[in-house]
Amino acid sequence: MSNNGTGIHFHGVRQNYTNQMDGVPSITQCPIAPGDSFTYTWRATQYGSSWYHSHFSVQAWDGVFGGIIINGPATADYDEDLGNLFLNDWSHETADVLTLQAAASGPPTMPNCLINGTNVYTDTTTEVETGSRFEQTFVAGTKYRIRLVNGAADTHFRFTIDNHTMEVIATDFVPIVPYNATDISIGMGQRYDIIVTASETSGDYWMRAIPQESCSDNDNVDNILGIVRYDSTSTADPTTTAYTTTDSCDDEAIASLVPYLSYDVSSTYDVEDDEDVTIAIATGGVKWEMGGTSFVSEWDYPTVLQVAESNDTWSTDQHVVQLTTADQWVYFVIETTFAQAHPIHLHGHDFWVLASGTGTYSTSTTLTTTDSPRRDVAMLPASGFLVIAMYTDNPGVSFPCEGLRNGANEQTGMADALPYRVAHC
Amino acid sequence: MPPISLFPIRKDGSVRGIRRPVNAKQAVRRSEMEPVDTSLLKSGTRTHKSPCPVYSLHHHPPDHRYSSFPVSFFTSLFHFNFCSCFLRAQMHFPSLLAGLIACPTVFAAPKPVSHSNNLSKRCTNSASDRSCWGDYDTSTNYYTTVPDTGVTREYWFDVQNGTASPDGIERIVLTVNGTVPGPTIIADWGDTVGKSTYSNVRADANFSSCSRIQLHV
Repeated sequence: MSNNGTGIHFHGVRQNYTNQMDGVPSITQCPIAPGDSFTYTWRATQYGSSWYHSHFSVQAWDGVFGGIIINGPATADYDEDLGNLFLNDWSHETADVLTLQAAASGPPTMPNCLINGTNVYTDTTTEVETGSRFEQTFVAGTKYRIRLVNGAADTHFRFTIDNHTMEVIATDFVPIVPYNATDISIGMGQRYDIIVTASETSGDYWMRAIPQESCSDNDNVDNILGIVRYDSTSTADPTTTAYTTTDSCDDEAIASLVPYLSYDVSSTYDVEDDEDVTIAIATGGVKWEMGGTSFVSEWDYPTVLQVAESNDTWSTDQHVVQLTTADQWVYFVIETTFAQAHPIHLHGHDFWVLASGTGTYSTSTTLTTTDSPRRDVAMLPASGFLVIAMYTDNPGVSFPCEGLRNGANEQTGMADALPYRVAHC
Repeated sequence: MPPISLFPIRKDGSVRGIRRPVNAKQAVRRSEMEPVDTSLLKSGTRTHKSPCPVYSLHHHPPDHRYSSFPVSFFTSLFHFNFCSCFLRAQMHFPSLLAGLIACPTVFAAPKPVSHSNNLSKRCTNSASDRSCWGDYDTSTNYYTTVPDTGVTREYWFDVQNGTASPDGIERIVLTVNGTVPGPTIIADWGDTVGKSTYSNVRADANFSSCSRIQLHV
């Protein structure tokens, strides 16, 4: 019982001046030892949808996660709130086993995915189908709010409901000017709040969470399906046809994700930081790196304690970017030559997405500083770049994971990442 | 497939794995979400022991249809009656444990957000006007302004080992209070969320232990 631990991270919650409640063992706290407890207290300064998950090792993908709903206003009307709808990938091995496989030979192919925690599975040998599909009954004419969460370890989804248009009202914790879509690209850790009008009068329709093969390997890619029924007594499989979609792990278009509350980025930055995201194949296995280092955890000396003790001796593996001045605009240019898209997540702040694309960033790259998307997870395109801005208004040790998927790739058990210190407290 | 033993039902119908609250109040299902009426907070009474004083308060849970999530997750393991029992417990959970908590925090600076106690309720959030939220709305700059509800939602999380078969294939999982996913945290904008996490995970990974837990609140 002495060599495990846990810690709960409240994804996307700003932790405004409560950095020590962020729940990241080795960064903002020591792991909670077996048999021990820890009390988190934080204020819901934002409203919308998110999820919590263990940030210790890969426990999140063994099941330590759940939904967060912060009730508040919304940018479009709806009749009924259906709550969080989780999209997960699912293995029949534990995440620890997958981690070992990933370290040895790269991300494993996932055998299945779940919609709202359930799906069918057909045994590859016996061809016996087990499990059941998620089913949701619609009443004609009703507008349903659905809070999509991608809680996967290593799967990017495209979500769509046959014959139904989705009105998108929020990206992560940021309400947006509503736009309509027939399919939504949702990366790991991202949330989209959608309103679906029950626009049909009868019938059964497929709800699809399609693993995007551009960056996700799955054995059941055409069978991650739920069912929308207009008659709850129906047991028929739908016969509907999917909207035409393009397999891609890129985010929704920047132009579509306009925050309802305008908060424009300063077109001049105070600090710029360039980070290269790479995959290193070394003796120790496959690791993701950012800025040439792969973050290594110090369980017994969390970064926030180091800051509290004014210990400014940072190791290379801590990869600290110190931002010592409050109320500054910081641009991060994140680039990769790796041919697979990757989510970038920042703790404690919404960030602004100024640009993303394939190829390399240059000074001639156009940056969107007006009505740019604001959120806490964005996709770094394959062989491409992502430029984000943040504002130093929440002191503490933040943690830009370069993606949840790293959790399954990293032998240290922590997403390799870049803790930085916004130290003006 | 043998049933798993995670969720024995107590005689009173509650489910082990979810801590039984004291003075449980009946949850009321509502079709519309509104900010909590803060006038209800003043008359709180202390109800159960915790590291900090805890007070009960009235709480109206939002309409939360996907509270049934764990039901579908475990459909292959449990018959319907059990699931419906569990669903009730799950839905009541946030409201039962809602409490007012006054914790000293560790080196937290004063919050820089402004507060408003002037809840004149300019409007009511409804199916035909979701943009409004009492004295606030979607135009409120939530980076600087947050409703002062005075409400704390308290949750108890117990991280445990278990098994589950969400696609019919049983495997080892880690759970929060015995379910995957764990309980949904539901709060109103401006509420404080207090949550105790109890780690009961088995040693099944090779991570070194921490000897320096200094950040208790």
